[in-house]
Amino acid sequence: MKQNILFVLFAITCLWLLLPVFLPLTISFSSQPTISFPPKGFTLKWFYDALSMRDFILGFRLSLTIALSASAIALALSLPVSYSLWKKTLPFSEIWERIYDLPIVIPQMVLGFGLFLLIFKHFGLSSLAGLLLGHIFIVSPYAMRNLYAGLSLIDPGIEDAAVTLGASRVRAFLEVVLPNAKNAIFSAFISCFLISFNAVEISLFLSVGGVSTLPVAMLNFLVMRWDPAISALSTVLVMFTIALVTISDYLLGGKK
Amino acid sequence: MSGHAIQIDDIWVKYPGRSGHVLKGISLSVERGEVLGLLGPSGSGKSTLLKAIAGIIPIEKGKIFIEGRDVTDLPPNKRKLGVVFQSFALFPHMKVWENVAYGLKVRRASKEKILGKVKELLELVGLSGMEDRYPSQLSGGQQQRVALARALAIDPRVILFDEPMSNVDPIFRSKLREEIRYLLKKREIAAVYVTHDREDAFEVSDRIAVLRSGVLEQVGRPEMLMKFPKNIFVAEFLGIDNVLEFEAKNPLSFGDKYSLLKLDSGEIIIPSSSVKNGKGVLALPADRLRIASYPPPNPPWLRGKIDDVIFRGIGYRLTVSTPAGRIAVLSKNADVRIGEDVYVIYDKEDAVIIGGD
Repeated sequence: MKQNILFVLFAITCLWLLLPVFLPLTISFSSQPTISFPPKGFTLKWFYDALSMRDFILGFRLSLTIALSASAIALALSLPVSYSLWKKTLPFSEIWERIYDLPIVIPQMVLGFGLFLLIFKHFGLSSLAGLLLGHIFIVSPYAMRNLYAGLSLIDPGIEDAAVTLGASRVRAFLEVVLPNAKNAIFSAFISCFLISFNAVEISLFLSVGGVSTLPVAMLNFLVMRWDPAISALSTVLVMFTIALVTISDYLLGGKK
Repeated sequence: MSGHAIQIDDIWVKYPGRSGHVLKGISLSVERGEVLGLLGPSGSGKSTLLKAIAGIIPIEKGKIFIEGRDVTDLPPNKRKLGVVFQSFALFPHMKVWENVAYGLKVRRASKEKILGKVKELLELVGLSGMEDRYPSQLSGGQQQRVALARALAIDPRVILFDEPMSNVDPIFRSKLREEIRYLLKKREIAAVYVTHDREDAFEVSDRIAVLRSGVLEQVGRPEMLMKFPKNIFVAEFLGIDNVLEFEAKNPLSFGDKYSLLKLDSGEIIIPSSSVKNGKGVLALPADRLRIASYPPPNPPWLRGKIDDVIFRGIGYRLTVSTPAGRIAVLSKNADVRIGEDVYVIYDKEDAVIIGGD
């Protein structure tokens, strides 16, 4: 009896979580010319439309570039910090952790506006540079958190052990710590990539001069048109994300 | 000076962001080929001292010499010390043989030399055939052997052990300790062996140093420590039974070597040198005590009541409550009843002198 109730609750939760993902998927195959539910007929036309739209192609390319480079740079910047936290060599470590959390805690609208003022009005940088800086900013907490969590699973003694055996600190880090932090770095990268790739608010502020990331391009499209091409694109993005997460899970799990 | 494997002079260590020193002026030396047990409760600074010798944590003041060479300002990778860590600190992504080979690889030894040495060391620690396993596939004791082989690979004259038994199954500890000591002696390697377990310290050490709150309380051969503990802390930490304190307000007759202390519950003889400031301190090793039903004609004796009788595998442990405190007595047989009035007697030579010079 208790089991049944739990099962029903479980089913409702799953439905609740999956429905918003699932709905656009069905509409993207509908032959109706506008977004409506339930879908009627079957066509792949909207996929063709979405994938050949110039704004989307450029947006995808930009989002990919920004996400890849912002993640890489954020990781490079966060590695020394998480390393110091892990080795407990940093004084006032709690304060550092709090500072690193700021980009998560502060509303992205505020953040976007602040960065907009700073990057464009004050420094007069290009939209591309602005987007890159902004995205590094918002993904850094995820880079740091993931790296720190991953490093915490490693015995700090292994670095000391390597050093007492004659390796320099740098060599010990490269040969002993880094190989064991591989998974943490990889999963940090995936998190950062997804956060950056999907970020809307901050990109809204920083997409100026006809440059827009994919989520911003999609938003612009919705403002002007109302057809299932947007659903088709959503379907593609959902698949893309699922594929990415699956591949990373497989790679991380396969290591064991 | 060059006779010592390790010599440390007046070492002070302070952790950043924390007040007070962890080590307060420790001076100590370890002879060549000698095993020094560093014994102390948690927080006494014993692991800190080990890490300071290894160079892993910086010292504020003091000098460290290894084999007569001043290494105070050398980084840990230039000190040529073997270190065996509490967690073993094996490299999880490397196979057993790669772990052992690491120090040789860093020293750019030839491939043949590395393979030969790894084979020899794994044989020595009884792990032949385990070359291709990963550390996670080994038991605690086996991991400890890998850690030992890894430390031995660089041919150190000194090995530092940091609580090496704490992650080893208790039933394997004694055997492993015996092997460690055998290896150290055979290769004439000096060692500092940090532990909080006195049994651990006794089974491997030539000498034992007792540390408390960053201060060295006493250093000496185990027999000496057991017979002449410097103070009650050392006595209790070494597990010396029945440390009793007496107010010496009672009539006290002093002899040359021994003093007679008349108590309501008996007459006690304690070493004269352990009477200080009107207080007498006495430790009575439990295996030297006897139980009698009548008071003996001559002191020393103490009246008490049997509190408990426990069978402990070999013989019995009797607990006797006396006005001076609870006293444990080890006895082959247990022909007493709980609640029975008895007399505890001992030979005056068996009393342990605490705080004597």
